[in-house]
Amino acid sequence: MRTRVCFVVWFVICALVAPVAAQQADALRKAQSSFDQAQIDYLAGKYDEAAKGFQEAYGARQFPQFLYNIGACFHMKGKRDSNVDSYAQAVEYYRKYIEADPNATDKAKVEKAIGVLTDEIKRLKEAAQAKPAGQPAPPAAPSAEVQSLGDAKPRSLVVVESEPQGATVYLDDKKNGSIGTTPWSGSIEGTHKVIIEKRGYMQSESEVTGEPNKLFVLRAVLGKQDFLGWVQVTSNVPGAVVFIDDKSVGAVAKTPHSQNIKPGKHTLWVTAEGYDETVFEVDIAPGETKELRANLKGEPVGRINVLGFGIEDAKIYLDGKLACDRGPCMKTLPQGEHTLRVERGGMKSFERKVAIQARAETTVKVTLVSKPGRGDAVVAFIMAGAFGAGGAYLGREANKLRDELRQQIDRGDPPVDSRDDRFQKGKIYAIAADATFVIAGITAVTAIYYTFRDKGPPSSGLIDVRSFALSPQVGPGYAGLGMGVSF
Amino acid sequence: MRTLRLRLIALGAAAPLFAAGGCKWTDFDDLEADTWVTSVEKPDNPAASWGVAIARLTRDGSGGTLAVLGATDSLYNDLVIDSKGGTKITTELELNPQFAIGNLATEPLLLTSPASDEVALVSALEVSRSLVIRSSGGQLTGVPVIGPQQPSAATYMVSPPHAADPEARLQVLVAQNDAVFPAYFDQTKALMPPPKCTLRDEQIPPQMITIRALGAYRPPGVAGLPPPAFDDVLVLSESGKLMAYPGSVFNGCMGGMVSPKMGFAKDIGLSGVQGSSQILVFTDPTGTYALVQAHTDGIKGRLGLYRITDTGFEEVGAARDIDRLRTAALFQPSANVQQRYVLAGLPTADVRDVASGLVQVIELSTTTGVAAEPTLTLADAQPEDTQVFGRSVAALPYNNGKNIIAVAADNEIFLYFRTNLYDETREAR
Repeated sequence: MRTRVCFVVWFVICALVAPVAAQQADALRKAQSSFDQAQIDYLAGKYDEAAKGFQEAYGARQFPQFLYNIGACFHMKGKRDSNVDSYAQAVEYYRKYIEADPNATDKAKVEKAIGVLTDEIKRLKEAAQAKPAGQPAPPAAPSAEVQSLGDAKPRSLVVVESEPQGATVYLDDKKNGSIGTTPWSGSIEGTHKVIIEKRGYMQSESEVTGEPNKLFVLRAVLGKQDFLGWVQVTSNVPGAVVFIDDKSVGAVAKTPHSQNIKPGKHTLWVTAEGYDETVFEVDIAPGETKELRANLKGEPVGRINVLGFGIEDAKIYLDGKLACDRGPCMKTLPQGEHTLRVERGGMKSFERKVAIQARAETTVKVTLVSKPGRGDAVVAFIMAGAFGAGGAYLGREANKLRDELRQQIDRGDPPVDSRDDRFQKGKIYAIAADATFVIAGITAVTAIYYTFRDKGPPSSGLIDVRSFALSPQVGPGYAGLGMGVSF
Repeated sequence: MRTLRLRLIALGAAAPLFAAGGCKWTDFDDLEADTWVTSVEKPDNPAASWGVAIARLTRDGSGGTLAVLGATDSLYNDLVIDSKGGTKITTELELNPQFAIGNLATEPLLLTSPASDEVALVSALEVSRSLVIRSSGGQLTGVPVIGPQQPSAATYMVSPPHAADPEARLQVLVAQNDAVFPAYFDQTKALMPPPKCTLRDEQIPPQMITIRALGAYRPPGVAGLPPPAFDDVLVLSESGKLMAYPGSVFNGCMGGMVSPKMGFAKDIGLSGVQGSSQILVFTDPTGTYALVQAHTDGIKGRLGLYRITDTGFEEVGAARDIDRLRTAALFQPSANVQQRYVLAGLPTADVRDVASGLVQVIELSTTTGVAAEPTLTLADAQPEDTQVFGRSVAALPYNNGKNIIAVAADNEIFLYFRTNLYDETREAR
């Protein structure tokens, strides 16, 4: 458990021998000290002192978050006292904050606060003019709009600096793309790995845990590494995945991407969903920089995603070939019609044609139905067998009587008379045998039908088609939008 | 699971094959048409025990006709058999309403005329009176016989002329106990009062006899004289004597009684019961023969063949004991007179352990007598208990000179159009 402090300074020495920029460190130390005191004053309700502290911190290091915190202190003072001047100062610092960080993620929220406070100032001024002269102004409660903004709280801050500055900063994995370059400041929630890389310097990796109301400063002193090369990959499609040397290990980064690389021959693949693949064969010398630009062309491919209850025990075939030994199964397929078949032991197979659209994901949620029992077929077969046996017995009896009569008629001792009841009996046996055979045949055909008929509802699949969610990720700074980092 | 499914499929496929190899029921129609015997069932009428007696009616022509009696609610039928074996009842006459004779006897006396297309039924009628019902051409005619109330034997015979009728005529002689009574077919020429002749045996003093069977034969001429124009009478007594009496007994006798002709009384050891013992007479180039069928009320029965000579009776061969014998008829399957058989009906004999009855076809030889073993045995192929197959038998002339065998069973007549003794007698077969 970390002790509660206003400033936490964490220095990481990444190089074996690295020079320290004493001047910058002093400024940052001063900013941290002022930030810590300002946080204490804010919590004690000393908004003027807190604002002063954040102003001193800003004076030491110009992090836009300090401007926001100053505005927040004046916001809270104005709200507590219905003080027009405090509100005006809050508005001023909020505006400075937006000017300093025009891409701030909370820009809209801050702008709303500016609007509300501006209206509140106006309202308070009008109320002061409307009161009778000579009488003290009655205490004014914040308007409902101000109340709806809630309390304005100073924010924590993570600062990443490097020596030298201008290094690329990654969060957790280079595949996620860079979040900016040093010096970088912003908010980070939870524990993350911060990767700092600069051409000609060794890469630095550090773990950072963002905590509320704290200023966390990560300074990496990067060791020089002149023997490495540098590769810089960009593409016309932002967020294209980059593979280096071995595709089987997966993508190493997303464009735009740059990193140190060992001198020598390398192969780089750049591709994106719905686009073709560009392959670069490069030979990098120590200290050399290779700028690679992948011009990806859209390819009519889409993706199929097979899901469903019990899919983990099913085999998925696409166009007759085993695509996944077990589900769920996601595959990229050329645009067009494909045959999907899902098989699972004891369940009815699901098969249907699926139209794959380019740059769209077709999700098939499969519901497999148990194969029905064949008890009725077994019963029918047994009945067919019984009828067949009965027919055989009756037929045998008929034939026996026929042969006996034929023999006695031929022998004539005793002569058989025309009204011998064996004629009638034999005829009845024969007709009954034939009828029984027919019934046996019909029953057998029925049994065969029962054996192969598809009883009960078939396995089914629900299809949902959606376009790929390709985030724009455009911008020269490439501030890490959509990377799961919140400011 | 796959193996099971394959087995099930194989079984399913086999079923239609079974069906494809099914039975042809028309085979039985074909077989039925191939049978040698036609069975005719009792027509729809109240008579019971139909077929209690049968007799040949017509002697020639295309097809044949059989007279059939039903016992209870006495019924008379002409069963006409066409040349192709088809059968039809053409005459159906209830005797009781017409002749008031009540029910027939268990073994009725139904005689076949030896010289005409006629049969005669001899039945009790009322006190001291019997009735001979003649059937010819679908018509029944009753001839009263004065005297016998319970006739025990009867025979067709050519009766001698008498004072009222100078011609010898084929008529019926009826016996009861020890006496014989004539049935004058032409009542206008009957002797009045009705004659009666009591027959005595040869013993001195003559003893009473009980007549069990009657027969008639034409005696040869004596000392170069032509044979007489009428028949003499053969009698089987209850005591087992075969005797011959002069034909004049038909018209009565001097003193009311008569003894047998000299030398014509032979104890043959055959004794019969009332009604169904028979004396069957035939003649061939070697002489005249009497086949005597006798039986007791029980199991025992016997057949004996006797040549009738100028001086008496000669036994031909040994008499044959045949258990359960009840009736007999002479049968010649062809025109060959040397091939002669007797149809012996054994209506209570066992067939395959069923007391359904049978008929033995036994060869007769004028030199060796009655054969020891039957040449052919006829029985129902599906014997039933109490079927009484063979309770009456007849040799039926059929299709111009051929002969077939007719056998009566209870409510059923079997017509043997073909046997191992003779080939197919039906046309277009």
